[in-house]
Amino acid sequence: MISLRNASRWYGQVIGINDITADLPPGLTALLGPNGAGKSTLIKLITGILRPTTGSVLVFGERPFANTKVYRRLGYCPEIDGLYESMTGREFVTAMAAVSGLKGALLRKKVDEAISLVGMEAAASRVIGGYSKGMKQRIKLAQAIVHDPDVLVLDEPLSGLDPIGRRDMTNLICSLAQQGKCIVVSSHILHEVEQMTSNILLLYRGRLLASGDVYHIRSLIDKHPHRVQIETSEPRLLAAELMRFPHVVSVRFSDGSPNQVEVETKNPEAFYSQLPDVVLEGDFEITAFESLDNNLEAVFRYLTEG
Amino acid sequence: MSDLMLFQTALREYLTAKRFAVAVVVVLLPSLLAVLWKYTTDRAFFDPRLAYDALALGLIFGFILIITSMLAGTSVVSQEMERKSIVYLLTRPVPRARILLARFLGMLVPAALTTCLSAFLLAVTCFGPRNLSGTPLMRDLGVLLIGVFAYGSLALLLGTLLRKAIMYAIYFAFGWENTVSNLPGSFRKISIITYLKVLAPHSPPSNGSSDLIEILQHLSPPKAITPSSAVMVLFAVTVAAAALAALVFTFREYSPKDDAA
Repeated sequence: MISLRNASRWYGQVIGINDITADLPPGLTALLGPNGAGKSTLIKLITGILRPTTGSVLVFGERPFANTKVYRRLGYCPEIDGLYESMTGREFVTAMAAVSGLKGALLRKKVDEAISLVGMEAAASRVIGGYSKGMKQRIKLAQAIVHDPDVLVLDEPLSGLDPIGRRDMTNLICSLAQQGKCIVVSSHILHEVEQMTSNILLLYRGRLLASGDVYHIRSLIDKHPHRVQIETSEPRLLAAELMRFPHVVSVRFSDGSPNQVEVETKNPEAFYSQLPDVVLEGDFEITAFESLDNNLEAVFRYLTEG
Repeated sequence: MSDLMLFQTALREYLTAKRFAVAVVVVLLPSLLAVLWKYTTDRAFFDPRLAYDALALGLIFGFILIITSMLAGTSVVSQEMERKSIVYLLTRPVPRARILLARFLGMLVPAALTTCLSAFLLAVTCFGPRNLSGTPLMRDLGVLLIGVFAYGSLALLLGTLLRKAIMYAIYFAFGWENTVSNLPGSFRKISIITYLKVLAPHSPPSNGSSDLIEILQHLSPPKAITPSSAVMVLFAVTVAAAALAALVFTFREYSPKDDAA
């Protein structure tokens, strides 16, 4: 649905994104990277607010800049809170739906649906100026989904939401992705994204550092062994057993938690398949088990810090 | 439906409480000054036509018309940019030129109402509500409407091209227009107010002495501009500026500043 080919964007002497080639399929894709990585620039190229300096960005096979055909099927929830503060939430969503071409009874139905989906029924008749940050996020999402777009671009959609709001918003975004929509979510908070998708585009200083499944990306990083933390009543005995595996490169004991063992392995798949046998044969009691590297934080750290 | 919604949204923005309060002051100012003039002058010497001409020329044509039209025209884009809400409009399935022109009309309607209402109240104050026939009011209202569109279109163009458009619009309104329209020879033909003055001539109050500009104008008398050519020039300026603004808005990138990079 979205295709980038050697797309670069410069702001004078400053580079926004540099030579990015990627395809974003239906489903949920996360744009990840620290502030200034180029996420917002990439989103603006996809939504046609900016044009690439070189290369191409295509949405549904068309250039998105000022393209009404693309906008008929695209919804955009920007990061910034620039809203019509004197309007009520319902008026704002209605205005955006009308500008998107909805009319009459269908318009009212879609507005009601969108407001209900984001959980803003109770506050929809209040003016936006009095909304909390979380409410603004929700009403921004409502205007983005009101015309039922096939592509939804969400720039930091969880920012400013409380934990319950984050959970609701995450569930909503996931359910929209399950409907076959192409959803692009940007975030710099890695664990937020991890709860939504494993399909990522990792940006750093304007460059595409990695793309694809986060676990697959992690497995490609041979340089950094996979770390697993195990908590058991017999940490030293378990460590001795695990050291027999050729793919286990180190075992460490934690200073603070004497029952914890941190294992580093070069072959996580073999490790996970052999570990149950070791535990059963040695009759070890395992009270906690955690993979320290199957998260985006670790992937991001390895890729950027080397 | 989408055009109407854009028009209504712009109209509503113009009618916010702050702007409405300013508009009320602007509407009432000329008539309040006329009342002051009337009651500080001996009744026998009060000339309604002279008071109307002086206030219409100096205050309505020379200030209110220009400032309200320029504010309305530049606000079409700059207000959306400052509020950073422009991204919502630019990512909708409506051609950018239509977004711009619908918002332009939405902003221009209250500007035209403000200007025309101030002229109407001034005429009522000077001539009395029953003596309006035979006064230049109807002619002035028509010319003010033409002026609102001409100045508004130029301001719209500035707004699509420049970030701090209102500053340049004010320089243009009170620097260029006031200076160039008083220069001798044909220089005055490159100011809008010159053509408006041709369509709606008002006699300025004279204190019996000649200033430098009058002397220069006598030395180099300009060729007369006919009312029909004035209408044509103002129409051409309005259409050309609005069309150019629509073209610029269609092809230019508008990305709120904080959000860039």
